[in-house]
Amino acid sequence: MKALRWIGAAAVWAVAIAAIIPATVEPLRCNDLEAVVEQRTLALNRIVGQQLRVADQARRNIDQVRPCMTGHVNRYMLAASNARMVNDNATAAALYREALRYDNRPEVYLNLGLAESANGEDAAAVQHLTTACLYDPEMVNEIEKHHQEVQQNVWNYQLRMEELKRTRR
Amino acid sequence: MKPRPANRLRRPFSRQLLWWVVAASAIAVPLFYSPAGHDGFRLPKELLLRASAIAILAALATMAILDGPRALLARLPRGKVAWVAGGIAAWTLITTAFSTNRLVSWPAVIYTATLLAFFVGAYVAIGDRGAKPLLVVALCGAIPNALLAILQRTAIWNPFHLDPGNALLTAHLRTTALLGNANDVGSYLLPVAVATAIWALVTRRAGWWAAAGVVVAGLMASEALSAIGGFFAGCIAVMLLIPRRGKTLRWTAIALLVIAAAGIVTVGRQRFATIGVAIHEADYPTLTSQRIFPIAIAWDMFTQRPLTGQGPGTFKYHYLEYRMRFNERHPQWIFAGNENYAQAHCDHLQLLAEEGILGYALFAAALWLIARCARKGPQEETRGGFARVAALPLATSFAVLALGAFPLELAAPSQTMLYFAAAILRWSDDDEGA
Repeated sequence: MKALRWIGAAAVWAVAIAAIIPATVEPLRCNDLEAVVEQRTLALNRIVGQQLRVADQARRNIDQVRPCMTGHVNRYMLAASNARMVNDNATAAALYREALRYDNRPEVYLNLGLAESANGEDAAAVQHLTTACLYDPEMVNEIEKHHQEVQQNVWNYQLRMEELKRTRR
Repeated sequence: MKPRPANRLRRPFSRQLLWWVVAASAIAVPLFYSPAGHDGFRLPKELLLRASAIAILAALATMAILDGPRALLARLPRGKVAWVAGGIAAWTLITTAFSTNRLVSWPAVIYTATLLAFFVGAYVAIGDRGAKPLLVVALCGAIPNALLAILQRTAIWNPFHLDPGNALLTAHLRTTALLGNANDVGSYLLPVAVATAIWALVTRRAGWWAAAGVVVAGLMASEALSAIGGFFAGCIAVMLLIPRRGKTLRWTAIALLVIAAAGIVTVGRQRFATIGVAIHEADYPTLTSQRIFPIAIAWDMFTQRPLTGQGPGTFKYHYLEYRMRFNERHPQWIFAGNENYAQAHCDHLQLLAEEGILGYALFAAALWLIARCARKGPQEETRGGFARVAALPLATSFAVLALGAFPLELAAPSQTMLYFAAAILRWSDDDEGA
């Protein structure tokens, strides 16, 4: 009977150790991987020319970070950034939309708008770019296509705020 | 060799094992970090705490298997403690079911379950131990962090090669210890500083005073105003519990109070200089170091859904949307503080925003349960003596800390507070049962 209890206890610990791997070890590995992919992505952004090499590394970055993405906005953004490097703007936009399910950051809206703009989804692009720039007007400087339109939306918003300020004095 | 006291029973292996797991967790979590990780500090600590919680559940199951289920059930939290802990678990699930974003709330459920598992494990394990091993374990994590914070703050040594030429990286920002952020350092060291200072007051031994001195110095080095304010509040609470005849104790407590006050003045002097102007100009963003925005938005979120809140973990998800609405009501501030806050920087309000009035009531009940263990009377070098004196200061200091920081969202500070809370509640329950 005593031996059975010890076997039972050992079985419990075996299950616990097996549970710790996906609960802790795997997320720690993903945390380290995220740092590596981030450095690689920044380095790729600085490369001029050598498109084949950039595309090859970008695809590897996406494949490596994809299993670790769920629930981590920064990892979706890394994957999307690499997707844009291989001109896969549709995938990039889908990844940014997935990121927005977890966090409504203005930089996600900005990057989504830029990806949609490159993908020809102009109406959605203007909407998302405007959302980003209403929150942080300096983001307008990062927009090329639709710059005037978004800038006008931001100015209209700021004028409306000035009007509200005046009426509330 | 010293003979073992006759009344000290050999602890069964399962209870020894549980204590080792709890102690290892309490030591390792504050010290663990991932130098190669994207998030080097907060996420690794949370993940290690999660692993500890799984190990604690395994240790509790081992106790039930080896010693029988009754042996475990007799040691589990009971009465009001069980009701509040159970209430927190149940309410977290209910608010997640009603959450405005369940995707974001489920990780918060796992985090809450992790903390509850640690608390239950500590409550069961600490029943066999005294105040000395309790504090030694806590100090194993606190002293290295305190010493490192002091070395970083005084620019003597910093193992993390932060950009030395960057003028924006002030001494405060460089004081990361092994927690990653000066405010996190303050939040973590606060409960250890209060508990160790109290034990030093009770025992009046030089060794404990030295340990308390190091931890308090580390707390001051962090320059975390909320944590130093919490220490000040804890010192006031200690003064309330010292008997009238305890002159030495009273003067010692006053000395601690003066140190805490000096800390607040030293850290806050730059802010005090601008406070007068900010009050005069009704410049609330400057007055509150831009914290007015997350605080006001947390209140808005609460008023929208006062019963169940927006859902656990949803504050940062809704921040942008609520900030835009806030701008409509306060257009004079649309260009101020447009940082996207992930935390409200006030756990009281964040709880209200995320879990509603009942969620906050459970938090208040938990603090009250700890505080009510306080008793005035002679200081005894016993577990009950520690619990009686430490209860009110720990509860008060944590409540004050939560006014300007977010310790509940951080693994190391939450774990440390729960560790001491488990000891206080367990030893008070044992005293009442005796």
